[in-house]
Amino acid sequence: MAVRIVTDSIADLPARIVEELGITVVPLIISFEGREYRDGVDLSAAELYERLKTSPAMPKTSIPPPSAFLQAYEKLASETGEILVITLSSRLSGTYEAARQCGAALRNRARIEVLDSRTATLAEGFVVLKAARAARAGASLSQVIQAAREAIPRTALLASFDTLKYLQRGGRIGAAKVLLGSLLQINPLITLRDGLVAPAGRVRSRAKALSALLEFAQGFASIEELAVGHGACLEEAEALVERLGAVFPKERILLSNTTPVIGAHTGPGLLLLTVLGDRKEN
Amino acid sequence: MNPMTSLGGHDFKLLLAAAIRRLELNAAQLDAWNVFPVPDGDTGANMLQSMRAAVQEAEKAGDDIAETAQALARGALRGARGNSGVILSQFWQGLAQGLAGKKTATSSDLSRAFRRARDLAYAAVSRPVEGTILTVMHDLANAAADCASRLKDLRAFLGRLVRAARASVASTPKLLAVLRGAGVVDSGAQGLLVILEGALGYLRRGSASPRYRGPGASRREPRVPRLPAGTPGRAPYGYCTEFLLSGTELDLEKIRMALEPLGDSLVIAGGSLLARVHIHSPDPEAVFAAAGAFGAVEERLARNMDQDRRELSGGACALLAVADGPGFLRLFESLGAVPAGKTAWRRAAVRLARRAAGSRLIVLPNSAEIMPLAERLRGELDGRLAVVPTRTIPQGIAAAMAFDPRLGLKANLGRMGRAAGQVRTIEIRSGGADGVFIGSLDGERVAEGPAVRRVLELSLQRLSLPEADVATIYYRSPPEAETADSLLRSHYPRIRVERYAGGHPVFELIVSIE
Repeated sequence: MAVRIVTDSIADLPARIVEELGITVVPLIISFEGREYRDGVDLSAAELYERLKTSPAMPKTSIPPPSAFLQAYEKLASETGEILVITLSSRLSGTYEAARQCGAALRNRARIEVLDSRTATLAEGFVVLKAARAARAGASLSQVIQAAREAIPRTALLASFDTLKYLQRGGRIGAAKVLLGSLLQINPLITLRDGLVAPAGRVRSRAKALSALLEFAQGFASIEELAVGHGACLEEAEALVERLGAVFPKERILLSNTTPVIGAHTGPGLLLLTVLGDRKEN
Repeated sequence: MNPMTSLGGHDFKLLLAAAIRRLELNAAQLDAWNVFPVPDGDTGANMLQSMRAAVQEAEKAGDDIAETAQALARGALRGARGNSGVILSQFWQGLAQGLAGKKTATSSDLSRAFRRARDLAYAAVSRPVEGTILTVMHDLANAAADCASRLKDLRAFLGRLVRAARASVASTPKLLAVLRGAGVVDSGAQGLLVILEGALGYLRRGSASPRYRGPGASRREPRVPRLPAGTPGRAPYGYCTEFLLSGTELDLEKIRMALEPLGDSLVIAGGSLLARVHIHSPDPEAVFAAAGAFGAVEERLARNMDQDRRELSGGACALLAVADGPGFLRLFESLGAVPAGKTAWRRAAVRLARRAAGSRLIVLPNSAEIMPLAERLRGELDGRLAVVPTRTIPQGIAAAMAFDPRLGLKANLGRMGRAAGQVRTIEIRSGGADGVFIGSLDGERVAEGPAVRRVLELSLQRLSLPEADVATIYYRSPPEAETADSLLRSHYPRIRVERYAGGHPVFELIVSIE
């Protein structure tokens, strides 16, 4: 009985990989114009952005209903005795706590361990990927956990935002609030540090932001996985992928139009680079 | 009314139904007060939905209180919505465990159950925060333990608990700065109070209340509680200490016993391979050492809770920018630098360099004239000060934008120097009484002419930069800015031009091109 992997929709893994590795994805919830949608299931980010253009309403996001975790665990418990759940940073969302409580509730059905990835988006996705591959190779639960935990410090993320208003309104701006209130127009650069949103710099133009993302990738001695996420700016994302071809095989770069829950917190114009790899010394 | 000394499952269901009705009346208000952890205005809706699911399940149970409480807990987790819903579900889970095996419950039984409920709720979050629903659960359990043996009548007992919960809710803004700032009490805490008030209302009115049949519409206006003044504060908390413990067969109970004496608000959550530990302790190192006996202690964090509001200060580096003109002073300040004029900077630098124990001061001279003075001061202060050699204000602005107070000196000097080097500067000033204007490029005199426009044109020719993203015009008078704007756009058709009132005392116009 192989270990099975559960994650949340914020890991933003492409359906193809989710299916291939038998990963179970529990979606967060996005509420918009009086309706609730499962993140990435009932609503795509592209649709959300399209509707945000004309709607005065603001989307709201919430943790998956615990029943969704319970159902996922119950289903897997009938196939395996060991489950590893990997969630987005517990400092950004209560998803981790919900996953854990549900795990405790079913502790007599299966051995369920919950790991806080301390990151989000495809950086979380890479942690999930490493765990799922280890599980697929027949590793034990503790080996799978080990693989996931070793991956966490090797993930890195840098994002260029058009505006910080979504991040601020969603209450997750954290230390990046120092980038607010600039008297000149800036393109803020954002990262996650200790599981929280943190400032990573400010540049004066989109072109410089793109260069900063490229330089960020060049700062790695070796890259195992690379992904570009975007919020309704496919052309720029494709251009970035093209330039990243200099440091990593283009055809292996994952390109994602983020999930609606991520999009609701970043707004359109997001360009996000995530890396699994090892940094150069210094 | 006769004293009521025990509560059975039947009454418990009616009491829960009354609690939901009260929650329905107050849900909108709870939504409005929702500022923590994320101000997304859904605490009331989430608590209501979670409680409805829980009570619907409880309604199906038999009339033992144990059975009813167990059904309540089961429904609560399955139907939980949002963070408050998850915490509440664990509270009911604890209550059910505390009441296991009982047909009816006395005040002493309930007191024990509330203690268990509190413990499980704290364990539901790996980083408990005071000033929230958890604080009310904590105070509720304490109040119950204090009065259970005296107050056998459940109306008096629950009345006492409601008073304690009210005081506890009122204390939440003292414990949580974000509530204080918003002028509200914690919405989840208030939600639990509303539930208790509904329950008390039922006990006082008697069994005339209807059972819960599903969501009902509320007609009454929600009651708006006010913030009472003068609630007591608490002793210092010490360090909020957290870490991840990993091992092969973690015995959480043994770990709990080892860590308990080292602090309070201890939470150990996890399984036998991974556990997340949280404790408020005066000595985090002692906690890490004690935990180390059980497994690998990783992801260590120790945050001084008594200094939380100072967390943004105290970086590794401080920045001083020399500039004149009110707009420039404001601009540098907005970028995290201490701005100082050409006459005041030296004293400010000496003061900052001496004060910044353990951290380093970086100075941006921002003119060719100040640069050697700043270098000399560096020598005088024995290297407690570093200089990024910016010759113009735009170079200084670019350097300040790249400044990161958390980074060390070397990293900052590198990135600031690079950023400064990517900006080109044209400065235009009046050449004296004869109506001549002088243009400089990166501090070197390159052009002169009878009009600002002409001098800018000549300077741009000397710049000979084929392409540019952004130009910023720092002006003294708006017409000059207008002129420069159109000239720059004709020179670089795709450029973004921004104008800013710098108000420099000498330069008519400063233009940065990058």
